[in-house]
Amino acid sequence: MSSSVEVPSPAPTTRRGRVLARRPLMTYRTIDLVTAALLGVGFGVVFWVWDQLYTAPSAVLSAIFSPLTGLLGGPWLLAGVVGGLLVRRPGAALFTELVAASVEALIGSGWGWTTLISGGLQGLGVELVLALFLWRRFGAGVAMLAGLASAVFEVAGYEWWSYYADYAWSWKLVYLATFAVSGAVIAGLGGLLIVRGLARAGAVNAMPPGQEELERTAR
Amino acid sequence: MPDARRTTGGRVDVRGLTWRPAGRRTPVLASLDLRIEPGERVLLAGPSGAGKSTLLRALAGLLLTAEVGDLSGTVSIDGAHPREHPGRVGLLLQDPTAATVANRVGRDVAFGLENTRVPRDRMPDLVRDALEAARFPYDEARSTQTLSGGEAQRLALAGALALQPRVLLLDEPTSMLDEQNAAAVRESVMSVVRRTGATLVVVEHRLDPWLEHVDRCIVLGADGAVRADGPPSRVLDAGLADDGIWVPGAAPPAPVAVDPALVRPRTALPTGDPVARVDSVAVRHHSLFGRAAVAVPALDGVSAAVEAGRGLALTGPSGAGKSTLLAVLAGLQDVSAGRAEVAPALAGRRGRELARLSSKELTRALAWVPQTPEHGLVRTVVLDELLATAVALGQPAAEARARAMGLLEALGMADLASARTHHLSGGEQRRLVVAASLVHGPSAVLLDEPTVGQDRRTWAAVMGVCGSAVAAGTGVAVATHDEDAACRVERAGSRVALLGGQVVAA
Repeated sequence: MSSSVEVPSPAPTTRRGRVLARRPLMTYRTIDLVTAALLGVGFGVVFWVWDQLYTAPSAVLSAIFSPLTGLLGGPWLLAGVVGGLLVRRPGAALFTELVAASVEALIGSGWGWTTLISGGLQGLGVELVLALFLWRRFGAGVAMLAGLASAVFEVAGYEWWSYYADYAWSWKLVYLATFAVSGAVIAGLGGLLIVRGLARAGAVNAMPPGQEELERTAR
Repeated sequence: MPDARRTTGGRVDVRGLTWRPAGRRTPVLASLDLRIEPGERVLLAGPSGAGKSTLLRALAGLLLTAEVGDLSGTVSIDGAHPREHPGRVGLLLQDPTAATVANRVGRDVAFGLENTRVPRDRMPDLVRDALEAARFPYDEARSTQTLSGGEAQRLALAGALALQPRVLLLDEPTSMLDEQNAAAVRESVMSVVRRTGATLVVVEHRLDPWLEHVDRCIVLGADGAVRADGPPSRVLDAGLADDGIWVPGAAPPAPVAVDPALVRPRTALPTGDPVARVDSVAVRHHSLFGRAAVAVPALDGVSAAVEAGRGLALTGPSGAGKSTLLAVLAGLQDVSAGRAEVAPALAGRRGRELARLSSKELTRALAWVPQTPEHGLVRTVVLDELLATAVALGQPAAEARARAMGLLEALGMADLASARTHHLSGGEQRRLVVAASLVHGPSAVLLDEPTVGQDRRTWAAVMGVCGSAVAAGTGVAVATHDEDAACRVERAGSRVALLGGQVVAA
């Protein structure tokens, strides 16, 4: 009853560079779902905090030029970008942003349950960009595009027709532009930095970005 | 006795199994071939990092579900992938609370049944039988929050048994338990195995207690291949002790030599002077609503002191109050009665009372290392972790750095200075947090179960650091149910044995 090693194993190497979610893409692991859900809950609280903090700078920008308040929109798009960049599966961005929007609504904000409309549209914006790159690219460019698309979906899909229905078209476009910049920079680049920070901290070793970090620092 | 629950053991077949986890250049398991016959009882041994736990997780079909890496080769249980028939393999982990998923015992045991869509009307019988087979002492309505480690482990066993596994995998199931609880869990496991004929594979650092129960021992080498395989009496030789394995009968290893200059306290007290002392203290844990959470106080009328240049061993079974007393001595737990104070030389702006020292005053005087090493990690890079407290206290950087590097060297971790703390193995993390507690030169260090579940190498490293800290004039308190460690610490000072929150012998 002995066992032996007969076949020499191939020279082992690490996988440097990009790591993708294990295919098939729609086969979520339990840990993917749990990570996205927990992330959503965390961002829900962050959203609610931003709901409170937002009012002061918003009042200042409104006094200068109302459409500039779009610059403050980026933080609400973070959940979708981070969820998408971290889990790297279809639906993860939408799910994370929706969980966050639900938690924000449950804690209670001036927007009530309409945060779910926003959350859904913002998540879809991120999904669209990740889908365009076939869930294969997750760098700075894609992250910024995702944040930007998230902002465009939110503004053109909802805010133009609800909060800012009385804006002139020129104002509407300026608002779209400022929100898009905020989405690309704060949610896009900021979200990417959050993902990298989590990976470096060793908090998401089971996720593709965590694996990239593990392989980069392999020993 | 007719027994409807009797299952037959499963055949385990492993062919060419290779697993390289992300972040390692070399595989943990390399082209492993293994066959375990139905009903065999196997003890799996090997040095830390040899891939014992990894192999168990592979047998349970769990690789790639939560960890990432490159996997090749095949694992089958009775010819099928382990995940094809959920519940065919039962896995018990080291931390019993990690397996608790519900707040009531009954629901907790039914969790696996729910997940495998067992018809609802069959569940009550299966749950009751599983609890009985695991010799769980309470009924299904019991809260899972109030269980001791050994009880929680038997609950986890019941959860696995409810699915009637053909293969039972145990990953250090008793290493966090005191001897009494460990024996109870072993008894439960063996009665189940005898009754069901399930195949058993056990991983445990301390081999002796399992030897009489197993008929085969497989030793994995550090290279991830099978090093020895056969009857325990033939396989276990003294040479394995050098690999860090706790071979039965082998004396504890010699502690690693550490230069006392590396762990010298910044405020040295005369040897034998109490650094921190408690007089007739009582601690009562309260629930959120202010009522006493449990009827019995965690500590009741306890007096003890950690003295400069001396050791203090705190012993007793689980729940005796060892960790609570350590936390009181560390100034982290306020007392409901009695006095807890530091030496006059270490008094803060608001006096000597431990609970009234500021964080910085407390940190300068005392260092505390929690039972789970990861809970003590505050930085992401090893060297930063070692320097964190010294930096926070504004101590000279060069000196702290020299001590940190010296300690890493002594503990065989010199090449890990820039490694990420959360990427280290359990043993490496343990050595790191113990070393990190001493870099800033506290007058006493308080360690909670620093050696439990560790191989001989980490044991020797931790005991070496403790010994040299004592020699350098630091007080060292160790709460433990590792008798070898307790004896060593006691020899350098004294022992306080606790039971039910009271001192039974000092």
